[in-house]
Amino acid sequence: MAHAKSLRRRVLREAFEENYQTMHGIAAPSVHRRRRMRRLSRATVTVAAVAAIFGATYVLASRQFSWTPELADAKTVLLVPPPAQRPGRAAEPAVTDASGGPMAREVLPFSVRRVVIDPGHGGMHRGTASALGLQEKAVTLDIAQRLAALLEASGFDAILTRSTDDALSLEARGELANAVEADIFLSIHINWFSEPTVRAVETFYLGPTQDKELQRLAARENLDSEMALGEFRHALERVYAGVRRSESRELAQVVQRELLKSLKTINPWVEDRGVKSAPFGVLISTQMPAILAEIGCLSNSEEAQLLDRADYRQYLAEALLEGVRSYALNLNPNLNLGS
Amino acid sequence: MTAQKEVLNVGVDLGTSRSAVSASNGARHLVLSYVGWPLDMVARRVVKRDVLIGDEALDQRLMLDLYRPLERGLIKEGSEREAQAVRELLKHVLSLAGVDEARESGAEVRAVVGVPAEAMRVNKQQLRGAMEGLVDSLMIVSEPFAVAYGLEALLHALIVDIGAGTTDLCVMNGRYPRDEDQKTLTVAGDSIDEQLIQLVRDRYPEANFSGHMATSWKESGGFVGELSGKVMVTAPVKGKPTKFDITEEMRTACGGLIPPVVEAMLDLISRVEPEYQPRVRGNVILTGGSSQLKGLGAALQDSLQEVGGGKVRVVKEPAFVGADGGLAIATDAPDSDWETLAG
Ligand SMILES: Nc1ncnc2c1ncn2[C@@H]1O[C@H](COP(=O)(O)OP(=O)(O)O)[C@@H](O)[C@H]1O
Ligand SMILES: [Zn+2]
Repeated sequence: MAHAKSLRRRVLREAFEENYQTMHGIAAPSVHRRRRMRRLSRATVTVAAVAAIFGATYVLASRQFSWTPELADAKTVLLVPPPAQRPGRAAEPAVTDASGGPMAREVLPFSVRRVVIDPGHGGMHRGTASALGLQEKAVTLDIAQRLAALLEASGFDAILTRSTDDALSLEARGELANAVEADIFLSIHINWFSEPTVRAVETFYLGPTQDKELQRLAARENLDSEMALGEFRHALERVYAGVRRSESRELAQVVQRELLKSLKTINPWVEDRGVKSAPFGVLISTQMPAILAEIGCLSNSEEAQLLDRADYRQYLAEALLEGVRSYALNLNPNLNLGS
Repeated sequence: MTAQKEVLNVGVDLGTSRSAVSASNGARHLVLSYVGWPLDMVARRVVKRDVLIGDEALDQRLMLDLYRPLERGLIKEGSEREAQAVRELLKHVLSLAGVDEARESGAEVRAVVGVPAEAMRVNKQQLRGAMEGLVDSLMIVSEPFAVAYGLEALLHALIVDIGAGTTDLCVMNGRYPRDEDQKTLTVAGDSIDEQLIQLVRDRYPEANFSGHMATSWKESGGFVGELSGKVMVTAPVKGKPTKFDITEEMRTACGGLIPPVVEAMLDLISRVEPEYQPRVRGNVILTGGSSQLKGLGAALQDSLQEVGGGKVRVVKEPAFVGADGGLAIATDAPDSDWETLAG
């Protein structure tokens, strides 16, 4: 039975994850976990409430997705990430905040409200790493959390696919974005080039590529996928034909532009490799404009040193915020977004 | 492409009283969880071994510094010997399963080791350290999880594992169990033995018997609830074999298990979402050596009556259910996951 099989697979994953953490001395104190779970379940309820309030404004295809945290049936087992991997929210939603905090959701009648930020890799999947051991999964999580806080403060609704060092399949990330009816999906990664002098930033949307280097990059980023290769190809073919591609490309262009604009002042050595398409698994299942940004690289030691600095990561988060804001503004020029 | 590497999958249940191993080559072995080192040079010369395991260790116990690894579930901080005992025991059961030959022939050995839930709680890192390097990839899980996996009881199930030193309870909610899904009690086989010894000594002060005798009385005549007939045992009085009726002592000693186990069961069930509680109550799995006490399953099932009823199933072959579960985990897990635990 498919249900029992996916349940077994998922529980096993968690067992491996726990062992991996023990092996590498990553403590996972239960008190912390429990507190986090309580927080998450509250966030879950809020997400559902927000979705209900604004349900009418979403004219998206119907999505049968259940937010029940229990494992009620095969569908939820397959789609809802396990509790430890459920998404965290950057902050309490502004919708519940009447005390002059971030601006209320109601004044944002536009098409980009909810942003799902996906910190690349996590848990046993480290992603790339610098010569000194700085890991991609940690850098992406930190920047994602900073970006989420910035987005919330600017009136967006920010949701993280992971808020801890948990492994999460690429498919689960996409499913999550669909489940919360995200308006855009932004996956954050750090690159690694075989040429150690290269320092480059590039942003991707989903599509085919003939470039061998990009094929290798996609293969590396797709390691966390649970899809079989055949399934993967099939899914890709379906998406390449979709209208979502042009929106995703536009989002990628705006984000890349804003990233470079910001970076030029603080890190002028960084090379603009532009916007490209490549077959990234994490972008396949999303039903909204979705991009993957490689916002730095760990193969270059100067770059790695910068990425190790909190102020630089904050700077990157601000650059990404500008990207999201410009995209939202393009879609709705009358919009007055925060400061 | 290189040829597929040979893989030997192994499941191990490291119990406080017995340990079992079950491997993909068909090997299945059970050993007593005793590890002993010769006390001195004289003892060393008598036993002719650096370390003794299982029955041998028990037989020579007077010559040995004897350990029951993971007794009370933990490797005590700083106790090098305790960690060493865990390592020796594991090494021994692995060698019984043919791990040494497999490694020599170049096969990759992957082992899943189930340990008492308490041992996982106390010091995972040290536990892992003690087991390092014996196989190519090692995964440590709590024993009740291995049992649940092997019996495909991952969702809406309650595992009650009554062993020697501890009773482990674990509710399965479709995820890898967390601390809040589990409970460990120190009432189990050993505490029954202690109680039985006390009660029989009080009633028959003249009877001369050892703890091991009391354990075997329990294993053959232990019961909970009603019994048609009597529990009669033989023990020497002033060197003369004499028959004693210990029915009431046995009833009391074994019955002492019920209240704490029921309380823990109900507590864990009450933490489950109300709508799923009936399913969990209907799927209680009783395992561990002490689950074989006559009438225990029925008594626990009766106790669920007051909260709406349920069903308690007793595992047929409790000695191997954990090791078999470990083997199932090892076999099911994809290569890519195993690679993350290599080293
Ligand atoms: N037939 C039986 N009836 C009652 N108790 C038994 C029986 N067989 C074994 N036991 C008890 O089970 C306990 C050992 O169970 P086990 O699951 O092997 O423990 P552990 O996992 O802690 O090593 C011992 O206390 C032993 O006396
Ligand atoms: Zn990456």
